[in-house]
Amino acid sequence: MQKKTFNMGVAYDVLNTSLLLLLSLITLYPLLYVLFASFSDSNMLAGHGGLLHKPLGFTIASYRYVFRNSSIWIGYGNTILYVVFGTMLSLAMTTLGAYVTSCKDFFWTKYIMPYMVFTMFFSGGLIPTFLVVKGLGLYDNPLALLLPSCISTWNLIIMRTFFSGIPRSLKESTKIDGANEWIILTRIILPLSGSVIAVMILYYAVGLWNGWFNAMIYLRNRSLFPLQLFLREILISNSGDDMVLGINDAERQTISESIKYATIIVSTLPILTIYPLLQKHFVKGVMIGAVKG
Amino acid sequence: MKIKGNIVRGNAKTKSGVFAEIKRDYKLNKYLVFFSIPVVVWYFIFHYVPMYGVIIAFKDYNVAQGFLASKWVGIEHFKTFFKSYYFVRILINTLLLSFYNLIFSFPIPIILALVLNEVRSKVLKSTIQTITYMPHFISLVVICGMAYIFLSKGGPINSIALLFGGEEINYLMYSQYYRIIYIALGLWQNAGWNSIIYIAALTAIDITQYEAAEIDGANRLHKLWHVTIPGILPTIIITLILNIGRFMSEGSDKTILLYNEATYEVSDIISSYVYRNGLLKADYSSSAAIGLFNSVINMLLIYGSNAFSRVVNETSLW
Amino acid sequence: MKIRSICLLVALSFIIAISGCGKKQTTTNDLSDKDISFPLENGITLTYFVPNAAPASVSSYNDIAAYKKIQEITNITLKFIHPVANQVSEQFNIMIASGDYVDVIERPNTYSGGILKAYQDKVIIRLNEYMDKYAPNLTAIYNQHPAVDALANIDGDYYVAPLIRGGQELCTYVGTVLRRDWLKELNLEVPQTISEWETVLTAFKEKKGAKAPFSSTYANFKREMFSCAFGVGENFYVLDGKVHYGPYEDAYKDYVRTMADWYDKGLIDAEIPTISDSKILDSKVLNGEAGAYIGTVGTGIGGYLTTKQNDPVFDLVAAPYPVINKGDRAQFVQHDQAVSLNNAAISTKNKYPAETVALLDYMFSKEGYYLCNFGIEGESYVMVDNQPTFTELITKNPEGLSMSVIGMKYCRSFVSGPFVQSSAYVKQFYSMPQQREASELWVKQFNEAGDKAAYGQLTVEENQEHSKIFSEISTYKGEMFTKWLMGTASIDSFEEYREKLREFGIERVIKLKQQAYDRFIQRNSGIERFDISDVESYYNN
Repeated sequence: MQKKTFNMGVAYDVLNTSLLLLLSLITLYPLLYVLFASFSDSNMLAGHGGLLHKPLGFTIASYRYVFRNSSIWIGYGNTILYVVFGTMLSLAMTTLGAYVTSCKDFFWTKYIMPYMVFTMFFSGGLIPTFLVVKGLGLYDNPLALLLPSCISTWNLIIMRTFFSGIPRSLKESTKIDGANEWIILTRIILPLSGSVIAVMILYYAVGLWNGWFNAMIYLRNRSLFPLQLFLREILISNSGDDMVLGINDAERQTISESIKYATIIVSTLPILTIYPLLQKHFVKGVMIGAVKG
Repeated sequence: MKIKGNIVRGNAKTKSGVFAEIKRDYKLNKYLVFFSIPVVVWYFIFHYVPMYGVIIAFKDYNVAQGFLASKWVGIEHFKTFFKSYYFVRILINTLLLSFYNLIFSFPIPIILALVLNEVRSKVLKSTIQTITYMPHFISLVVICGMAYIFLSKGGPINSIALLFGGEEINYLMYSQYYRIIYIALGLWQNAGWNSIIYIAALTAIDITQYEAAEIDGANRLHKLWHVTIPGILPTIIITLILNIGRFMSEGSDKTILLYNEATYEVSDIISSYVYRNGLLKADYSSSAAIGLFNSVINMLLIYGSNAFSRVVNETSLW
Repeated sequence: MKIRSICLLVALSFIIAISGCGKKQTTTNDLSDKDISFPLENGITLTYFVPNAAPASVSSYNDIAAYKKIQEITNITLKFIHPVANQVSEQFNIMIASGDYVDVIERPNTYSGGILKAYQDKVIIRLNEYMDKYAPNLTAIYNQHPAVDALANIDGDYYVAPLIRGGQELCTYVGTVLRRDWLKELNLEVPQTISEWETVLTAFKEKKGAKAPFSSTYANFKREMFSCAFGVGENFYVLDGKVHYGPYEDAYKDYVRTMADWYDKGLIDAEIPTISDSKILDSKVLNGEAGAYIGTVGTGIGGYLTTKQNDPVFDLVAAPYPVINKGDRAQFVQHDQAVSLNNAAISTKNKYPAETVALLDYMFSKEGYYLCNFGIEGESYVMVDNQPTFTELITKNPEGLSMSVIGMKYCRSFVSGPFVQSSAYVKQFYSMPQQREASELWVKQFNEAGDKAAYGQLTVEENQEHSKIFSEISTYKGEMFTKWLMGTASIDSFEEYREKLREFGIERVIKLKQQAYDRFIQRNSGIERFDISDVESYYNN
């Protein structure tokens, strides 16, 4: 009897794992394709129609082109600053909002929540938002990249859901001990929320890393531009029908395909590494330790 | 609604009662009031102040004249949209696409997270997690370009079809495949990324519950059903409600990259219509009107699903 | 309860918004009679909005040698503001909404409603009052060449410093291209008629195993490349003074039937409706899946031949626009208007309109013409037999940069802009015999076919009505064409389709176009042909 279930378990594991491996292979392919293409010879790439199994004529010319551009380094520097400070700010604000709205006995919660959710559906649009930011004196100021988008309501709700899942008894017992809400939040709630904080850092950092639209709208000074904005300049391809726009196609400048792929690799590789770093915070057992302690 | 509110609040009946309650609450939750101030102010400045912009849905907005000076046209833009030859078609297409998206794109990340949770080898688990979340970072243009390669004649999908005696066709040209492709591409790109939130929720489940279940003689399936799923249910329900609230707001980017005139019949959705007829010509007013229409429907949906969930499940957004 | 509090908040934000948006309207109309000569005694700075069309060469137009020189000569500092690629419209509109207009706006058509609307809404100024005094070169060109003048003004008013294409080869540059080596191998002539085309494509399919004998991006396919043989254009055009819309004509049916027949026989790329990206076409041509396609002289012939320069057999030849019976004349040939108004306009916030007009006019002087087209004498070009000729730095760059990439570091002729684009430039740019052959063939055909463009600008109101009606028409037309082509709808439904177009209001749109055209013709009744290919004579004396 014991043995039988054991075998069942093994079969289950094998099936499960092999399915997942297959899935990983399928999802891995786009990344490999981009990688191969970035090392390919651009002329050979242009004439190639199908899938890639290896780089076509290995060359690092496109990487040289991308890195020769000095603004890439300025962009990297700026982006790292924006990601670090932006994530900190977003995390702080989101935590406050999520914590407040997770307290069911707080009088204002039932008003604040719809107040926030409403903004997920109605927005004034691009131009009014721009005018407000400009009116605050944030135009051409790096803060314009951090402040207007510092809370994502979606993320806030997710964090709130997590906070709500923490047993109330924990809070109440500390409250009786005379602790105020600040102590409860920082000493009790946050230590228990490692995994959701990791998720929030991931979401915000990735958002800030990939963001370019706000920078395009709010920044004019090139020395403040984030990486993605510089990369878009490299990436620009007149792939739309130029003739329709009335620009002479005879004069069209094409950037070689492989450079496009190199820029993708250059711009995504650093942020790709963030997940494995955060993953270790997704560990079981935090909860149990706290309850016993 | 009013009656229910009164029941819940119990003794706060009169106006002075409300003020008294605020006062009492302030004494009790002083810190919470301070916590909420920056958040409330932030929402007000960056979301509510710009909201005057919605008036352009009722105006012939013109960037040079500004919001106030532009001419009022009433519900003209709404009428034009509703009377458009394509209105019914794009509405149905949007609803169907969102519906399929909800049926497939919503549960699959959950299943992925659950399956991953069952993997015992830590190294394998984290490797698979890392790999599956990667496609999220590749731009849509590249993903759709690859879709073209995969689905065109001579592509791998066709090679497989040929093996089974099928005919070589370009799948992107036939309406019957369009929605499948659209949804599958979304899954390919985002299933791993979307599963992260569930993976995080899973790790927060109290281990003692599993231990207790084991003592009761539960097998893996039992544990999954009685411990794991209830453990992440609040997360599932909240994301579900939020997803329902985005029902009408399927973006235009992917559609524009994937559709062509041969598949317009099923592929043209509200956002791509707006893109073609409004945004390309910087016609902010009509896009704002259509956006408002979408928002109202989304609002109703989220309100409804939230109320439903509150009754059935006692989980709700507010 | 909740709803009410939300309403309150919204109302509050309204009040704030309204009180915040005071009226700030200042217009400078500086029409003093001052004289302007370059270099200016007191230098000024102008901001200049223009999309960077050549990011591969220069990160800012300030890096173009010609612009450096112009700034030196005029003592006007130009601060170029380049919108981020593909976001031109957003950044343009933000700029207008914020009230911080730049001084010079290239692409004023980006303004919703077009140039006239931009003037009506006080975004740009009218140049009439400045022309005589501050734009001697433009005025002289307009006086010498009434045809240029006719295309450069809108109902008698001037709003921009336009792009003037100095030669036919700058206007006509798209056509059908075939694999010359395949034709030779199969002993076939370059096809001239529709039936010869069918023969050639059939041979490509059967004997060369071409998977897609004829291919093209779908946008290009829906041009007049084949419909011209059936006597219909693909858009609005004028025959005997009457405006027509090709897809609404009877003969369009015959054209569609032929295309559907070819598609059914596998002569046209089965995947053609999905080819939205020229990259897909590139690979089909370069790896021999397609034997004929629609291409441009620059990329479609020059670009492919360069990519395949190590291939000993790969060769291309341009085909003439086809006809039904041998010896007939093609009736429609691709042709961009010789004067493009979507160029430099002056904003109402510009404090130095007179100086700005003078600066823009400088580009139309002889020195400006050389600078814009060829760059710096002695560096990027030299005079050979009184003809500006690019140096080897440009034509055979030692670093291996392509002509347009290195050229853009010196001059602006490789992309459009407010100056007279020189035909001598493009003749040197088309460096391969196949390119010159193609260019000459198509230009000749255009001259035979005659100009059928529906000239004339719609008024602001007409334009509003037009775009409202026409967006649904073009969606419907595109969809029906695709259905007929693929055989998912029968050509018998053509009458229903025409009925539907009528319902949408096609007759009204044609009437609007007719009104605009009539106004144009009435105003310019003395002009026989809007041929401006002699405009460069202004510089040759």
